[in-house]
Amino acid sequence: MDWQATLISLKIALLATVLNLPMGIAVGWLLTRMRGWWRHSLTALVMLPLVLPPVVSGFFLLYLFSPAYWIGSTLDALNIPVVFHLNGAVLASAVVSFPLIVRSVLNGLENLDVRYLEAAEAAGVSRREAFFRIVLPLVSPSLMVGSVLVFARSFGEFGATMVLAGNIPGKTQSLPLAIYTAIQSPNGWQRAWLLVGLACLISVSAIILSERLWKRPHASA
Amino acid sequence: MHQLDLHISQHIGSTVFQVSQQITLGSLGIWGPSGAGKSSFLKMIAGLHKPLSGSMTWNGTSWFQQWPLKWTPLRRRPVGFCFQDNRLFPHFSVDQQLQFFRQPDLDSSEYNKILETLGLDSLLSQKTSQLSGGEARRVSLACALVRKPELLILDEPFTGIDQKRVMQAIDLIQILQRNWQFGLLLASHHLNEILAFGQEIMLLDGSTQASFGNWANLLCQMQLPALHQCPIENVIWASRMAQGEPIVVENEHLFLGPAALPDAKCFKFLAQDVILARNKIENISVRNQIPGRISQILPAPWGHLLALDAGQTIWAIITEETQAHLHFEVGEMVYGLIKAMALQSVDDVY
Repeated sequence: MDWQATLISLKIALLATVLNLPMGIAVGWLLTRMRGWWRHSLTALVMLPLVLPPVVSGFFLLYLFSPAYWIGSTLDALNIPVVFHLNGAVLASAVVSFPLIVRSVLNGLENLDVRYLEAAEAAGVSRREAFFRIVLPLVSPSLMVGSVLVFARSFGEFGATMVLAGNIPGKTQSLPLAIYTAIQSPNGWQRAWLLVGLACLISVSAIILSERLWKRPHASA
Repeated sequence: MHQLDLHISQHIGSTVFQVSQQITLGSLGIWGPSGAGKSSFLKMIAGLHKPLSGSMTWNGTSWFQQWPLKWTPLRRRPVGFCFQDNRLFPHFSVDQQLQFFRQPDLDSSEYNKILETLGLDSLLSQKTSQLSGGEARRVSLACALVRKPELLILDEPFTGIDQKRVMQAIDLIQILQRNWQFGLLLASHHLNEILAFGQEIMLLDGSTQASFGNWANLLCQMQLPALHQCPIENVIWASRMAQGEPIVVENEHLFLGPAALPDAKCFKFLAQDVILARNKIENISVRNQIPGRISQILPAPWGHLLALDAGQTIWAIITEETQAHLHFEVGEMVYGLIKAMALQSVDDVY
């Protein structure tokens, strides 16, 4: 039971990171190309989940993806369930942590030395090739930081997941939800301590792992 | 021969700079002091900066036109560009860097020749971020060459490269130019590097106009204020047999002053700081006395410019009155006297 919640949490965090990385790169890149009012509007929309209470984000998602409306019903027809399903937990985590990856990507792109872009121009390669072979590798430290933040935020996601995916043991009950349930149940304190210990262990391991990955490109540079 | 038609104006610093010239290439040296806008001019020609107004045509193909707007970015121009500040990609090895720039129709014998001449064979597996300044400069030059360009633009390409390799690199560029027939724009503030490729120069002295023409004619028409703006600088290479041994130029001991780093091998000094003498002079405070033959005497409004062939060309400026008094002639052996205090090390040479 306890391992199941841990596994579900890890799965959610991993999938949300994989989903958010390309999306975050695309939106971050789009934002650097935009100016004025458009840029402000899109930035506000993307950053909204950072300031909204997660429960409110979850509420909006529940409304959007409920089978009563067209997005939810279309996805249902395509056999992609969202509400009260692991997909929903991944979606909730991805939406809530999305601002973190966009912010990191933006940071990387805006600090990228324009002289490297000019040098790529001088190589005569297409913009697409310059983006994939020069820009992305040069901003990879920012992508790394963003991914770690998304993973951590998704691993600990509670409010939006609870509202959209529910708290179904073995299906959508992630580690934070399992801890909450254990605290609520009589004689659940022992189990709660066990789960809290697991959460701490995984979080510390993630920090150590990300530190090592972070150091590697710098050591060779 | 290629045709570059320029009718443009562009911001260089706070001034608006205008050029209207049909340039036939060959080779054109762009000469002027640091900060005169040589790099900005080259970037504009290459297609990194749009001109303010006007038009630019390469062999009949429009590269820039103000109205209706036409603009060909650098990546679509057949240009090889060697940046003054290298700009190697830090995540690439030297091999990856060169492959990224390599034109597909460059055959491997020419590619290998470039690597060999610039001494890059042994560096291929190294990360570009681990190269020394001189090595990075050579890789940067190779990147421009492996593009197999129609127009090669070199911005101070030989800074930081040792004398032997500079000579080899100049030979290589000349051979490739004969084979590929590319046009060459070379910016440098060292006259000798420019003259290795041809006599035609564009003089940028920080004013709003550039002058084009034969270098000797341009220099000799240059008025005194312009000469102060754009002083003629000598660069000489010295060598040392071993650590601690005296440093020599063409077998003559070179005495260094405090402006020269003791372990430097490349030095610069102004042509107007060179004294000419028919004999070696004892009991004088000028300790560097380098023998050489006068190979050229150019009369100018501000005096005479003499080229002294001492294995390396040393330029000297003397006044009208001195020449009237001493009657130096081409072919004559003289000594070039250079105060140790006037020698400045070019510290970016490796």
